Amino acid sequence: MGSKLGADLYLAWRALVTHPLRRLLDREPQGKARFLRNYGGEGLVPTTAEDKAMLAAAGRCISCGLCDELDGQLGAIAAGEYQGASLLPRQYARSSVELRHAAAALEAIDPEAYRAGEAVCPTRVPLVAIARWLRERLARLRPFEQQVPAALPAPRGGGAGTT
Amino acid sequence: MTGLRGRVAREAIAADVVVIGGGLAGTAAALAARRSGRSVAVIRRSWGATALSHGVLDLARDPLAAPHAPLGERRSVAASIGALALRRPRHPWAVLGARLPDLARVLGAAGEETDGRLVFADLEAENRCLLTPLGAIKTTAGGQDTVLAGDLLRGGAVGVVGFVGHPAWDARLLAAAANEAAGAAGLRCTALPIETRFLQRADDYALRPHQLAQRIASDPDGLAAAIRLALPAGVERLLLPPLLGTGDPRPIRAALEEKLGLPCAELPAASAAPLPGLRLQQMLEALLEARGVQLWHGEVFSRDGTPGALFVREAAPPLLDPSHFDAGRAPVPHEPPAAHRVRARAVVLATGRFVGGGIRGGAALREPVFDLPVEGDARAGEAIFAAGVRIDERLRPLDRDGAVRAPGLFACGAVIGGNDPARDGAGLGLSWFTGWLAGEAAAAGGA
Repeated sequence: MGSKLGADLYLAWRALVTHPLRRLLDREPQGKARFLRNYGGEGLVPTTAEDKAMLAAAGRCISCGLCDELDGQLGAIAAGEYQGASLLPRQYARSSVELRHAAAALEAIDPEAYRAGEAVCPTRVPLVAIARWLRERLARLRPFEQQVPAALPAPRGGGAGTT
Repeated sequence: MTGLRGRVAREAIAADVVVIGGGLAGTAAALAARRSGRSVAVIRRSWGATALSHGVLDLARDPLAAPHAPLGERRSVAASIGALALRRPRHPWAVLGARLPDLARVLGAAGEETDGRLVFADLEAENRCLLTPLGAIKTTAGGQDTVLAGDLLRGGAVGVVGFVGHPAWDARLLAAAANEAAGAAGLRCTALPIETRFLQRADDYALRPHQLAQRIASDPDGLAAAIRLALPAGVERLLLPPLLGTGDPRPIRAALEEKLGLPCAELPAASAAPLPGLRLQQMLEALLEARGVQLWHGEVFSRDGTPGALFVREAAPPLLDPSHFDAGRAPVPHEPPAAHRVRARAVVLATGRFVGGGIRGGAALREPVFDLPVEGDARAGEAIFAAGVRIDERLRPLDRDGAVRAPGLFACGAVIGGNDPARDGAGLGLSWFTGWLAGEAAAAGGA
């Protein structure tokens, strides 16, 4: 019983004194700003209404690949970076977390070059608009990029293959 | 590769016959109407199932065939069609039973119109038996000649070519599958995994079919030399991946045959964006242009469900208005582009099924151009893969009460209900037949 009373008192102290004081004195950003500071670099940025509209349009892609056949940019960009127009609605439009991995491809593409693929799309995915929007979305991620390490740190004690 | 041909529909359109849809059925209808001397306009929203097809034109599967015995009792094509019509009274083959005497003539027109690139087996012969790139067996009566030449039932010693360094065509798997399926027909398949000059870079494994086809088209002699290095004695003919160029495959096949001294055929396609389907679509569009058919890119709709109030508008991809997401309401599309009048003496509906957009889902299945009733609602216990509109024996769409919807309106291809292509083995061959008949009926002037 005594230990429960002690625990309750400790919690009350934390809730009524320590925590409000820390919030008053803390210079760190709060709320959304703090969230963005912590997670923005991972691509977890706010999803705007325009983002939602584009995600709905990208969701119409059935991965038929017809647009890829008319994509003259396929082959001009390294296959490891870019595998055709359908990659935009299928993958990069769905996760802002993955978007920075597509940065090289998004900077190399010309959205207007997707007109021919857009015209033959059976489900009428707006490829040109999606390409433009992804570049704009990538630009929104840029301010947070420096918060992310370029690569995971090496395991302690040296991992396999290290010297 | 060439994309969608023709003009964007930003003006009124007029022709004797207007065909809505530009796949195989729509093309057949347009060609048939042009043969009758009519002016024809084809309006399509995009490419559809024809561009995604294997490149074969199937009419009916042997109803007693099973996956482990794809040849069944080895009935003729005509007998398979008859058996399907008997078992399924709402199938198009049953509805069009009185038109079957026209079948040989209409199928023959495919070869005439395409300079022999599309061919059909004799109706009294059995279906051809083709090996797909996944090792399955596909039976079909017709298709592109370079694909149909790969009939396993011809037996003999066959070399199956695959490319070392590219995962899409596994020669060993394919040879084993072919031997299992058609060994009884005297087939002896040998795997020929070959190393080629055009698959040397580390990221070449990711090349798409059309990229590989471009490389083969630029160096068919190099491919022939690589095959010759791997070719064992005794092989009588070759099966190659469906990559003999992005256009007409026949010149490349001829070059290979000349160099190797062996008949060559392509496998049908099975992957996404298959090249034979794309080639077929592009050949059809070129054919329509050459025949003087107006080609339009647009979306057609009728304001009163009849051809008399037909309109077209630009088929721009619909974008949703973002403000509706903010307001928490259901999103709605932006204002659609302006509509323009479409005038015709007869209209052929060839919009396809789910891929082509001829039948759409939602709260209930619907036909979006004329709002025709659709059969095949799974909630009503009907087969959704056979969904489509009902027609009479003259290919006129019917309302729920069985009455003809409107004079001068015809339907063809996959938008017609009652056919389940996967189960019935009746696909693009049936589309060609119904398309041609609909085009002839439309040219004759309607009802």
